[in-house]
Amino acid sequence: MYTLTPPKFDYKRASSVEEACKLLAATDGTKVIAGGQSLLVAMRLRLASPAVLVDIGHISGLGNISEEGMGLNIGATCTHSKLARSKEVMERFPILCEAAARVGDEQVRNRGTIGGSISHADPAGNYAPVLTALNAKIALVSASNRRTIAASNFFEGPYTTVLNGDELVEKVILEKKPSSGTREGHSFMKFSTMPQEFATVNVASIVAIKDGKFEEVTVALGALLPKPRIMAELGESLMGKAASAENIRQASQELHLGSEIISDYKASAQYRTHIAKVLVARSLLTAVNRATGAE
Amino acid sequence: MTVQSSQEKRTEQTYVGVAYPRLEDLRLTTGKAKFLDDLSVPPGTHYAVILRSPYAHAKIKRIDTEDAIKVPGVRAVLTAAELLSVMDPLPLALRSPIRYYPIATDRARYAGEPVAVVIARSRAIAEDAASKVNVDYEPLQVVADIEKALAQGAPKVHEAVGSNTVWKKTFSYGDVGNAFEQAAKVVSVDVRVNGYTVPPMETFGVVAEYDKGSDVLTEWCNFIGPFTLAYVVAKALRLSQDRFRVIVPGDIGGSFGTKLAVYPYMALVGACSIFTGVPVKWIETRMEHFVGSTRAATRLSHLEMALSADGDFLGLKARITDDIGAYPRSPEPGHLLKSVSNFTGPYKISNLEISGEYVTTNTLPTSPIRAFGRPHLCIPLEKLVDKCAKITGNDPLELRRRNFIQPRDFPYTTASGGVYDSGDYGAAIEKLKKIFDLDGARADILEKRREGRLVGLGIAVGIEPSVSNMAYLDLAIPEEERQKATFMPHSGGQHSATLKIEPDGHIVVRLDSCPQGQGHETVAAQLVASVLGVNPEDVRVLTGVDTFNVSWSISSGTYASRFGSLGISAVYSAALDMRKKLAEAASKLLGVSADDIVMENGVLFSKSRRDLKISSKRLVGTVYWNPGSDALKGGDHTLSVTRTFNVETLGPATLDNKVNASATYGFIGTAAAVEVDRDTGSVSILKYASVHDSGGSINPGIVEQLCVGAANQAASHALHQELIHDDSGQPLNITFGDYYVRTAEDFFTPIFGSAAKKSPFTPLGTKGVSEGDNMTGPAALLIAIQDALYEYNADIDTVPFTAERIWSRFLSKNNLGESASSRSRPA
Ligand SMILES: Cc1cc2nc3c(=O)[nH]c(=O)nc-3n(C[C@H](O)[C@H](O)[C@H](O)COP(=O)(O)OP(=O)(O)OC[C@H]3O[C@@H](n4cnc5c(N)ncnc54)[C@H](O)[C@@H]3O)c2cc1C
Repeated sequence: MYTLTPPKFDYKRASSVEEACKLLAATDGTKVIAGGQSLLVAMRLRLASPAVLVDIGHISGLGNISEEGMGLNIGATCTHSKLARSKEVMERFPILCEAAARVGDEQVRNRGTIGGSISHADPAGNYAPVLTALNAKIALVSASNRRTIAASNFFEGPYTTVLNGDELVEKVILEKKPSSGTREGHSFMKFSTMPQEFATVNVASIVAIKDGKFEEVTVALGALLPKPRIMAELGESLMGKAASAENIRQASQELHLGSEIISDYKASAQYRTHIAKVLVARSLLTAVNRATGAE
Repeated sequence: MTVQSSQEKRTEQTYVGVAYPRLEDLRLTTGKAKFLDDLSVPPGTHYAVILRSPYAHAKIKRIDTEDAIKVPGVRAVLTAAELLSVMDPLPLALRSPIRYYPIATDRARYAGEPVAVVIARSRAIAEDAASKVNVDYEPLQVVADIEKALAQGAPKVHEAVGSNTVWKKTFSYGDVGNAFEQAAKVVSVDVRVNGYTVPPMETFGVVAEYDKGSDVLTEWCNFIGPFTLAYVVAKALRLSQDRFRVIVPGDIGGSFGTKLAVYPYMALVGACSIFTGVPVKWIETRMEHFVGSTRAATRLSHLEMALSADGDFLGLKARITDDIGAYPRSPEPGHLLKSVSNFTGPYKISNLEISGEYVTTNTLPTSPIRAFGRPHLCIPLEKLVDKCAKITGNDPLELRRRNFIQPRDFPYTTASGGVYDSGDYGAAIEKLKKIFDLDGARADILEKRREGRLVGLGIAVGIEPSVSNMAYLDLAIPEEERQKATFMPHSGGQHSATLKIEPDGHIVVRLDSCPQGQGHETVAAQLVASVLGVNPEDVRVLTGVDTFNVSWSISSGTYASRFGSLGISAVYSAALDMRKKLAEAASKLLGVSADDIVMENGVLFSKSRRDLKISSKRLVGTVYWNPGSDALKGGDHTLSVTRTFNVETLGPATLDNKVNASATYGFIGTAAAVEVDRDTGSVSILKYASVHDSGGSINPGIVEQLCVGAANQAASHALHQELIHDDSGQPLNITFGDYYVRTAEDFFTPIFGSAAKKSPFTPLGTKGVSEGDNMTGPAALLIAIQDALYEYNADIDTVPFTAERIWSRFLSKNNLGESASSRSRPA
């Protein structure tokens, strides 16, 4: 059916994380709403019909970006546009700014949040491969429990995560190792027909270069797989090798993606696989150029 | 023609040809315009939600509405069983046993076809209840593509027809057989244009109120015309025209032709109001728009050109197969017939054969989408001409020029009966070369190719007809029937305007147009202000139609680029008449002859005795408040003029199937330079320019804006827009997330040029303009991409040419990423 109005629901506005957790635990069918950019769409199409909405968008401080040692904590309700323009994030984890800036359009970026995006877990979402590549941790909280989980374990498949029904994403934790004399570079690339569309392939590449050689290579792919995946073999094959275009090209061509590649009317599995190879090569090269100052 | 040239010469041209800022924009850009959903509704209005078939083809065995009816606030749940008691089928333009209702009767024939309507006190209640309607379907075999529909033993969309072909016809002009016998060479191309649409921001909407007392049905709707289709709706609802009032608001939130197809919903919602006795409001959702409104036809075309040894076009043969969805609704078979008159484009080709076949499939029915059927024609025709140039070793522009209709040939009658008004295509091409900097672009391409980049250049030209002569649809009717004395031929495409001066001197212009952003208010005000010597701001222009209060005709509305040629002419004629009336009244009051009166800055005075004068305000005041004065007594000085303008060449179709389907025929030439990403198949437009012959524009700024929009739509259509369904006929891309429409952020700015050649058929020489890029844009891009892919010998035969299609058809044959390593930045 083609609807415009959501089914009947109750709306509650939480003023603290504790209150939100309590409300979540109280009634079955309660759902958190942050920016509403995914949830309201689903509700208006009656694909989601929560009995109660708990709005966490007005909890003060929940969208803050704060320093923690060398790292950063990013609050769940931090919007895409705030993230894209944050100086602190740009200095330490510029790849996250790059990913945030490529979410949808300006209106979506002004309302949508990082917590909402990862909880929604659209396989084509921008953050999943980036947070996985950054080895980020995600802090979850409920009325009765707190836990921290690695991004690589957080995503389980399309629209599914480890989140329990009464749990909330509180923040994303990004740690930074002290520099070991290497030069770091990163690159996020999104492939879509038009810039504002959801990706058919996302790639996050992070490299560390020392004396012209790869000291570290992390490449994570998203959008063509049910959940983000680190290309460990690719990393291993490049480690210690010269950070040259030729090496990158060869390694990308040898990329093995397995049989889980999403195939739909937007792009066939074959095309997505090909684009993944192209994008991995391009993003690695960009990351290397950024590390070596060529860009 | 109705306008005297002596008057024309006296016109003050102050605001004509000026890019005057649009008068409607403040309202439109500050959220103050009222669209259909913003209008206040009659007391007691109920809201309709349409339940649609989830199957592309299914027998409807039972519809259980019991649970839905019980939901508090629900007034009725209506199905064909109820509604057919107040409704007949919507008449078709072609002869067929198919009965087309706006709601499925015993079978659903496309996924999205209305099956039931829930009517409740609020939209939310209606949506709650709709989920409680249980329909028992028996799925049937689906034909979702032309190929499947035409296969031996294919399931039939309409059993009554006996096959999926609902119309088939060959039109022959000249001696095609001889032309192909004489030919030194025959060149052919095949192109498939997939189904697509150009969706507007505002979706369809209808509010219907049936009044038992007067037995009148009033409908507020964002229907754009032609009002022939309002007649079709009245017919289906068993109403005489005096009992069917259609009100179209002055502001419509985009259409691009789609809102012609509001008409089946006018019948459906109207029937609901008649049946229930309450006013009913229906606003279409975005997804509904994709599954249930309309689309352009899917077309397979095979074109063949017979060439002389020198490259003259001796004859053209076309085999066209159009998939028009589940029902051949009016105005089909217009995708083909509307273009018969100008099938040969700007070329002189006297031997022409067109074979058309219309096929029904289990998909959404079609109707005119911006440039009705002409992208379908221009893309293969220009691809063919480009190929002819290649094969004969000619420069593509030179070959075109050689075969162009020449300036001395106008007015030119085409083999199929089109009467082209004017043109200088060679001059337009020269202009295009200049604004595009063709030599510079060629050099640039060579340089980029040396770097290993896939860049190419494409040029396409076309005829941009405007106004719709209803006669073209008579070609769908067998000649035997047309021969009978009882047959009533159709023709015409008139536009009306009423100009009134109010008692306080204010000027009001009432149009019978339904603009969707085209700026009719501004253009009409500029024109009237110029004729009557006032400021455009002093002229209030009312748009939209109210069939009980506006002088309208069956061709009223805004479609087929008709305002720029006919609409403007009606306004201009009315303004000249008004000036004459004012002069007559002034002459009586001043005691001089009417010829002696001139008007300047709101004052009318005698040319020979400048001290004899009267302000127009006092003049108007006298006419209204003192018509019994000695000077005015006995004359008719009412300050209201209605003028209807038609072009004389819009006659009926002949028995040998010649017809002039349009009133004016502009020209467009488009050049595009593109780069194809060797690794991904993505196309970037490096440069794009179009030259338009609009005959001259009242407001060149508006013309340019409209063309910028068209060029961007053209790029989307060429590169990625298509309506995709799976084998079971399920539409797959039915949101703006999946069917991407360019936003302001994505727009590119084409280079715009004008090469106007006045039309002798309209008083100001204007022609319709702004649909041109929708046809030449995709054609030029196709040719440019083929050029960029010359190493691959690329023959692009499917529109849109998506990145994946380009990659899988051509680039994947090569090794990956030769250039991936040599480039540091993503495209
Ligand atoms: C037009 C458009 C284009 C888009 N394009 C892109 C794109 O290119 N790339 C991309 O990555 N995304 C894109 N998005 C999605 C966008 O990123 C959304 O903002 C995001 O998916 C949801 O964030 P939100 O804050 O709006 O969450 P909501 O819509 O409010 O919630 C989404 C889901 O997450 C849950 N949730 C929200 N916050 C929390 C929390 N703190 N803890 C637990 N659960 C929570 C909700 O219960 C709900 O299930 C697009 C969206 C739109 C509308």
